[in-house]
Amino acid sequence: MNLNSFTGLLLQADAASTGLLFRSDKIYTVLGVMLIVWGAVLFSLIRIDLKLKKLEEKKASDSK
Amino acid sequence: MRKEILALLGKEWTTEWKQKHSFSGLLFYVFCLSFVTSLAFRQSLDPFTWNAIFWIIQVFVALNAASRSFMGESRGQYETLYCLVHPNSILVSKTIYGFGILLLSSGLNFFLMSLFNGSVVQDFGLFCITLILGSLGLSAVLTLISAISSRAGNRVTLMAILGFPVLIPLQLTILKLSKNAVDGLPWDKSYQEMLTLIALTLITGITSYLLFPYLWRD
Amino acid sequence: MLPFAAFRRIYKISAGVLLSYALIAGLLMTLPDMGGNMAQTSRNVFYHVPQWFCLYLMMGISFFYSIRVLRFNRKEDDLIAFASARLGLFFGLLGLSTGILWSRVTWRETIASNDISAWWGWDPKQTLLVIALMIYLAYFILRGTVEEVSLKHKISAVYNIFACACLIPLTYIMPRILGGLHPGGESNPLDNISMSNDFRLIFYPSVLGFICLALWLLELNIRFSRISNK
Repeated sequence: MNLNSFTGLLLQADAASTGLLFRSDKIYTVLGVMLIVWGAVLFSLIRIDLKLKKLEEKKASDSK
Repeated sequence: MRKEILALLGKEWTTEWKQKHSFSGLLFYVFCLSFVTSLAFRQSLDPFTWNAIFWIIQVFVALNAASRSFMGESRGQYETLYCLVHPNSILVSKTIYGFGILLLSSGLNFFLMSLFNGSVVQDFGLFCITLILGSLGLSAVLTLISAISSRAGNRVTLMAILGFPVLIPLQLTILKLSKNAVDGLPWDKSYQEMLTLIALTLITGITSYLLFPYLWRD
Repeated sequence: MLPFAAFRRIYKISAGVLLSYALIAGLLMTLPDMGGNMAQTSRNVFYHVPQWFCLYLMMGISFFYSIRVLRFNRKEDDLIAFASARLGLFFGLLGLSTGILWSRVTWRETIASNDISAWWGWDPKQTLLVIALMIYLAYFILRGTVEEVSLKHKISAVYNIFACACLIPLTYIMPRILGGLHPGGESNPLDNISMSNDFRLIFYPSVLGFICLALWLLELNIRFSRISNK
């Protein structure tokens, strides 16, 4: 399902950049990357939430 | 309910005698598997590998035996049984019957593997206990899986797919216990594995007992 | 619908806030001196362990709703059981991959880089998690095989309960017996190091944050399935 695979990819990128952490001293770079990824995840979750809400309202008004 | 179980066991036995080819087919399967693997490994089978191969063959035989237990019956037989007996009697009788068949086939397997590859087992008593506990565990798990797959379309591949992952923890413990028997370790080192086996069998048995009536109802 | 739907806004906002905090603080906090490899890699505790909590939560929800399917036979309960099992699988895979990354550095550092087996150690907890995930994968295959709808709900509920009953001894009890490298087993030398207070300050919010994230994902999944099924 699109929702799961997309979020999954982003969270995986999160985990992968954790792997970067163990081989570099550049903590701030890694932190920056992870914050960007996490921001993208949050953004997409909120967007999907709002879209679903709109679809649900549309369904409710259609069935009335 | 005990009378029902005994009656059902008697029915299984008579059906088996009428269609002798199914049990003898299973024994032939055991023979072929052990013969082919012994040919492939000729002269270079160390105890560790012997143990692993023995139990892999046993798992395949168990799957074969379990596929005959529920899936060999027709729809009409099901409906007759449903009216007559309590569903859990059917489950218990099939588990006991499966246990018996697995015990016999594991005995044959052991005989053949020892014949072709040399007797590797040092502690025969512990190995017998492994065979008994292992057959009981395999039968308990596979009877429910067989029931599920028979309701889901009667396909053998489905039973293999459902069965293999669930069998792995049981297999791990059996292999460990069996390795102890092959190595001839004292019994007190094996108590944990025996307890784990009994616990796993009990958990699956009780879960099957609770869940089977729901599966049986239409 | 999930019983805590009333707290929707609370857990969504807490997911965002708590996890951002856990991310930033977890990477920036000063670590106590533990020597050797454990120094930086111990940060992974904040991310790896909560994923396991989420796995158990999702499987628990799936188990609960499967029992409800057998008792009340409602389609809605089956929907929730399926969605939470799927999410449980997802979190299990995440936990497994973060575990693999972590173990490459701590337990298996001595193996050469070009040997791919450096990534998979036969640690009991790891192996048993894979087995448990395989059992749940078989659940999804079973759902795909049965076509008739009411039968599908019942059979998959039965198998789900069976799989969950196998999950608890597999991933919780057997690792304790078998030992291995994971903390909490019998043969681990690091068992005596408990979590310092600095760690706890970030760890508990991280766990809460991940649980809230899991619930949010579950709710989105359920709403999506509900809309696409009607």
